[in-house]
Formats: sequence, C-alpha cells, structure tokens
Amino acid sequence: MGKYWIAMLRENIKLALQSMAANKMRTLLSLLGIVIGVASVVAIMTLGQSATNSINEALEIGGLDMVTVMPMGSARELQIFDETFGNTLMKNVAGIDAVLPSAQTNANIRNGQETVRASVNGVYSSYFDVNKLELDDGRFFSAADNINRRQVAVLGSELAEELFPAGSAVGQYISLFRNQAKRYLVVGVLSERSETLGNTYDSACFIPYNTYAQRLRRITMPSSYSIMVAEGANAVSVADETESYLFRMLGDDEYYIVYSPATLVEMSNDIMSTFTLFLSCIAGISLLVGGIGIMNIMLVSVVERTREIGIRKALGASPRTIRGQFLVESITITLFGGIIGIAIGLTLSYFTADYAGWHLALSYSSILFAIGFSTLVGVFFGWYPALKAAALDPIEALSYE
Amino acid sequence: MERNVIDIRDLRKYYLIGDFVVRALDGINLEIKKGDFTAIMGPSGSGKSTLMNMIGCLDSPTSGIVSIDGEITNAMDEAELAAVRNRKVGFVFQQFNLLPKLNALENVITPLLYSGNGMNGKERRERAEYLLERVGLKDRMRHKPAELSGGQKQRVAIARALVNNPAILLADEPTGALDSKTGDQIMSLFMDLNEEGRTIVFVTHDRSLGMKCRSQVYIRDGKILDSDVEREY
Repeated sequence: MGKYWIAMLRENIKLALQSMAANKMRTLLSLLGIVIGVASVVAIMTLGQSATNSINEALEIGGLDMVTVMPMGSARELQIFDETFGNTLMKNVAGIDAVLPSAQTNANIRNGQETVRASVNGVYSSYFDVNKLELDDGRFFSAADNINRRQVAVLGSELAEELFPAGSAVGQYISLFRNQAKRYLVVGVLSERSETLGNTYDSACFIPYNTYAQRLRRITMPSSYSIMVAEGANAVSVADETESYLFRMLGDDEYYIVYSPATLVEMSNDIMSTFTLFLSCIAGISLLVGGIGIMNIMLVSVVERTREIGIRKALGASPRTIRGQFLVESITITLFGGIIGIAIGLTLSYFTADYAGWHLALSYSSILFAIGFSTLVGVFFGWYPALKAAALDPIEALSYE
Repeated sequence: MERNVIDIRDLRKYYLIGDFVVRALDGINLEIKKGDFTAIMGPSGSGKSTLMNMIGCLDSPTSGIVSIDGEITNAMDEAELAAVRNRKVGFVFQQFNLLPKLNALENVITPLLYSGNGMNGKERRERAEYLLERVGLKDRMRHKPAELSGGQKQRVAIARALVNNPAILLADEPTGALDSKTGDQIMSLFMDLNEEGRTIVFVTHDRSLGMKCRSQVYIRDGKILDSDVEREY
C-alpha cells in the first residue's frame, strides 16, 4: 500500500509540474502573492535576527556580568555614596562579587609640545578586567601601584596616538595638569575599542584610584561604581535589585542611574522580537492573500479540466484519488512559490545586512516556517477546489466540452 | 455452470425532469456470458447510453440489480464503484478520451496507477508496452495524443482499456469518429480480441456494425425489444 501511495504521489507531482509548465504565465502570476509573502517573512525574520545579534554583540563588548551605578547629584545630598557604599550594597543585594568606585574629571595632558584635553579616570586595577579592556602595549597598573599611589597611567589608543604620534607611549612620561603639573609614567596603551553606550575608552586616560584621590583631585563622591556580578548570578536581577535598593535609600530615581548591558540586551531583544513579530504578521497577511490567488487559479483549473477529471474517473480514479491529485497540485504550486520566496528573501537579507554592516544571521526557523506555511496555504486553499473536482459527476464531466 | 459476466435484473432508471418522470430504463433484463460479443443497438434517446453507464458503473439505478463479474453495484459508494470500473470495465469511447498531456504509454499506465495492484514502475511500463505492441503501436509509445491519427488514438484507448485485464470491454461507438477504412480496422481489432476470449459490449446505433457482433440487443424507450433478431427501427 505504501508503494502505491508513493507511485501516486510521484505521478501527481509530475502532473502538477506539467500543468504548471503548460500555463507558465498564469502559474507565475498566481504565484506572485505567495512569493512576495514568503520573501517578506523570510527577510523580516532574518534581518530582525541579524539586527538583534548585532545590537547584542555591541552591548556584550561591555561585559554582561557588569552593572554600572552613577550617582546624580551632590555628595551632600547623596550621603550613601561614601566609602562604605560598596560593602553596604553587597549586604543588601545578592550576587555581587565586588563594587569598584571610579572617579572622572577632565584635565590637560601634555607631552612635549602636544597638549590634549582628555577625560582622566581614577580606577582600581580590576577595572580593566571588569570592562573587558585589552592592552595594545605595555601593562595595566597593579594593585600595588594603587596602594602606593604611584604616578602611572594607561592611555586609550587614540589619546596615545595624539600624544605620541612618533612612537610607542609605553615608558614615556606625560604631564597631567590640574592645579599643578605632575609627571606620570605611561605603563600601558589600550587596544582600540568601538564605542559602546557612550564609553569613550579610546580617548581617555586611566590612573590608579588612590593616586587620583591624593594627587589629582580629592574625591568627595565617586562618579560611578562598577558592580561585578558574581558567577552564576543574573546580571539583570542584580541591576533590578540595586535599583530598588537605591530607590529605597534615596526615595527618588533621579539621584542615580543604573545601567547594565544585560538589561539593555534583554530590552533590545524584547523590542526587536515584538517588532519582528509585528512585521511578520503583516507579511503573513500577504501570504494569505497569495493563498486566495492560488484558490482562484485552482478553481479555474478544475473547471478547465472537467473532462480530464471525467476520463480519470472512468478509468477508476476514486474521489479521494482526484482530491489527492488537485491537493498535490496546489501544494506543489505554493511550495514552488515558497522556495522562490525563500531565495528572494535571503538574497534581499544578504544585501541589506551587508549594507547595514550586520552579520547575516540565517534564520532557519524562518525558512522552516516559510516552507511549512506555504504547504499549509496549499492545503487550505487547495482543499475546496480539490473537493469540487472530486465531487464531479463522471457522466457529466465526460460530456463536458 | 459459469457465472454471467453481466447480470442485469429488472433494471430501472427514472429521472424527474420538472413534473415529468422520464423512464430512461424501464425494466431491463440482460445476461452476458464470458466471451460474448454483444451489440447494444438503438436510436438516440432509446436508453442505450444510460444502460452503458450502468454497465460501466458510472451511474446507479433507481431500482433493479446490476452485477458486474459477480460484483453487485447497487449499494456501492463512489469509491467502490471507481474500484469496480478500474478492475472490471475497460472503456473505449467515440471521442477516444485520451489524457492530452500524457503520451501513449502514460495514458495506458494510468489505470494501473489507480488499481494499487502492487506492480512496480517497471512492471507497469512493461505491461503497457506489451498492450501497445498488441494493438500495433510499438513505435508510437512516446507520442502525445495530438501527434497521433484518429485510428492510432483509438488503439491507444483500447490498450488502455485492456491494461487491468477487465471482465468487460465496453465500447461506445468506437468507430464513430473514424473514416470507414480506419473504422473497419478498429472493428477487426475488436473481433480479434473477442476471438482471444475477451467479453465485449459494443454500443452503437449503426446497424451494419452491430451485425458484425456475435449477438445483438435492441433497445427502445428504455426496454429491450428483442435479442438476436434484427428489427427495423
């Protein structure tokens, strides 16, 4: 019995292709709706995925296991942001490994004739690790440098290039101007890092936190805290709990900013998937319209082939066999349209992603969805015409001119 | 005792057209035995087409019994009738009724596909080729119907009718669309097939053709007038 069905199926697919080939223009026109619908669904889903991935990639550079807290206001108003803040926060919020304060100011930096105004950051030595910063040359400063308040600096790549256009900055001295000039030894230069979330590491200068506090500027309140999320803990929930802790303590959310790449990734995923779903629904409607076009063409085809149906019935085709023939035909048509649509959708995605500079994320689920959906459209919209064909009276059909 | 290939008892087919009852068949009794070559003759409107449709399992009666090679078709649904048509009846039509998009070989194979008899593709093709050779079309197998002459088309149709080795070969004016010379050739093919033992029912209004068959049945107004006796009509 299985062999019989395979033989019938093969025969029906052959017949379907023959009848498609016999009416090329008509087939093409009736396919257009399906092609456009499938192409848009595939393109939207693929591009949605590609865009999401590329946004996430950019966010993940900043490190998904980090939450940043920025106090907004004066030290007098915000007394909780003192030396004990880190420990207090760790007591109140679970899943934190460390809280690293950092301070930031703008200062003039000079090497010989070159003077550049740049952001100077006082940071702990683990700041580099937490922020996934990498070295182009030299070393990061150490915990010992911090404890001993050594006058050492790590430069962003762009800043290093500006101050030392001729050669390597490592081992050279720069002067930092605040109230008075102080000489700092450059111990490392960072690798170039594309900008994320407004952090311009490339044009910044980093010195040890304690050096900053004692020699550059007194720190009344750190300008930000980097919170390292413990391994296995969820960065999003740490960010949320930190935020609610701060709200409890300060009573107003304008006194602080909490942000974490993980929260942003989650938000962007939410937004992108809603957006993709919305667009896919619109594209799905065009698939539906395409399906109606297929139904129309199948109904015409049944009428045109009334006599053929009569002959087949006289030769012993059961109603079920006839229904199968026309269903296979409509599925073949829609599947054919689906495959063309997938090809067009992917080509479109490829060029758009290329233009936008995204990595193309092939959405296999969208391809499966497109194939499945076009088959479904074929079955759904082929059903009624197939039933009509199967129900034809053989005697009337045979005498149909 | 050998069973009748066709056994029809008190067969009636009434149609309601407006307020009138049209009695297309009005009490037909007919027995056809294996190896018979029977002409069913009658003027148009006599009911011979309706009778042919009954024998061919294309239509179901208002009352009476139709038995085709032991299968009583009265209570059958469409699918069962289709199966009987496929296995027991080989149709040959006046207008050939070949499937235009298929070539001669594919046309002959089609009833085999519907039979689900477990033949594989090669066996089906060999069976079809054998029959096309038998009707003298060995070198026309890959031709589409449009590329064949009327006589060749009818030969393809006969091969197709024989492919499932049916109990009855049911021919409806098979020479009606052919010139007389070709018609004679087709007629002698039928006679040869009957010589080989094939049971043939030959529906025609052409008296001289009917007389070439071994027995004749005359129909008028839905009734059998007489058998084996030539009547003027």
